[in-house]
Amino acid sequence: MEPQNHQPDRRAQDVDAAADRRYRDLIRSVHQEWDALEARGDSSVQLSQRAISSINEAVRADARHGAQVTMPPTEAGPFTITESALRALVRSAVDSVPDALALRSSFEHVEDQNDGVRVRGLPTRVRLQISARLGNQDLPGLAELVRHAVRSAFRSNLAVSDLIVDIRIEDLHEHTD
Amino acid sequence: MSTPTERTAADLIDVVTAVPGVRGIEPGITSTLRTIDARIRKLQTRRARYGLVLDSEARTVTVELGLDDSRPIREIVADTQRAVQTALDLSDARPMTVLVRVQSLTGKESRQPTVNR
Repeated sequence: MEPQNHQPDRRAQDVDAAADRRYRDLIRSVHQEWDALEARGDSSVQLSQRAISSINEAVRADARHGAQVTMPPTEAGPFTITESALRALVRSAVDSVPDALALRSSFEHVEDQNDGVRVRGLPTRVRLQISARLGNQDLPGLAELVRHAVRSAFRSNLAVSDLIVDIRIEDLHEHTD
Repeated sequence: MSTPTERTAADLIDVVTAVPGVRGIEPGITSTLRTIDARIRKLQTRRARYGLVLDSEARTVTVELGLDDSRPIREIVADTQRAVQTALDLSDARPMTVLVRVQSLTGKESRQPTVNR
């Protein structure tokens, strides 16, 4: 049977990246506006329509980013990373493996005792759904390469070791650029 | 010489966004509302900026950022923390704790599959 014109749908990820870019640009422009007003000694309330719009955009950004995930601290202090940034890291690692494309990922976490529903503990397991290039003759070998790439990315970027990586090949695609 | 309490969020925004790998400030809801509240009440507006909360009493600074993938995340975060601590601790023996919240990670354009016609 001839393969259909099949492309895994990754548009949502690109839409999120574009939305984050626009959000940063909005924040930058509001800060420039305030810098200029303060330099002129303007002591008015300084809430332009743009500054008020940033409240709505902050809510949208918060929904897009998901919960904060606690990470091992750096030598200079503590840090957290959002669920969406973690998924971006996973996607980048999977896409770096020839013949593999990331589709979806979800995490399990150590239970965080400190904060409420918007904070997660260290990730312990990631479940990946990927697409493999049609014609790859060694799917188990491909999965192992993806596993290694994701673990390596978490080790070098976040100092998270021993991450369990479950992989499900859900789709087959033809060539990538 | 400025003290930590005199350093403003506006000054620190410039310090943070100069760190290689930092794409820009990406505030969460909490810092956004605190900033709006400070500006409505005209409370030291130079200390009120989206994405950077300076708490002199608790001796903490919270910074909310978008990063790129030019370097490992931990390196960018640690450099940001050190840059803020350096900017704040010129005349004070007690260092500030700098909490970085990585809001987004932007990398290369994702590869898209094509159909070989």
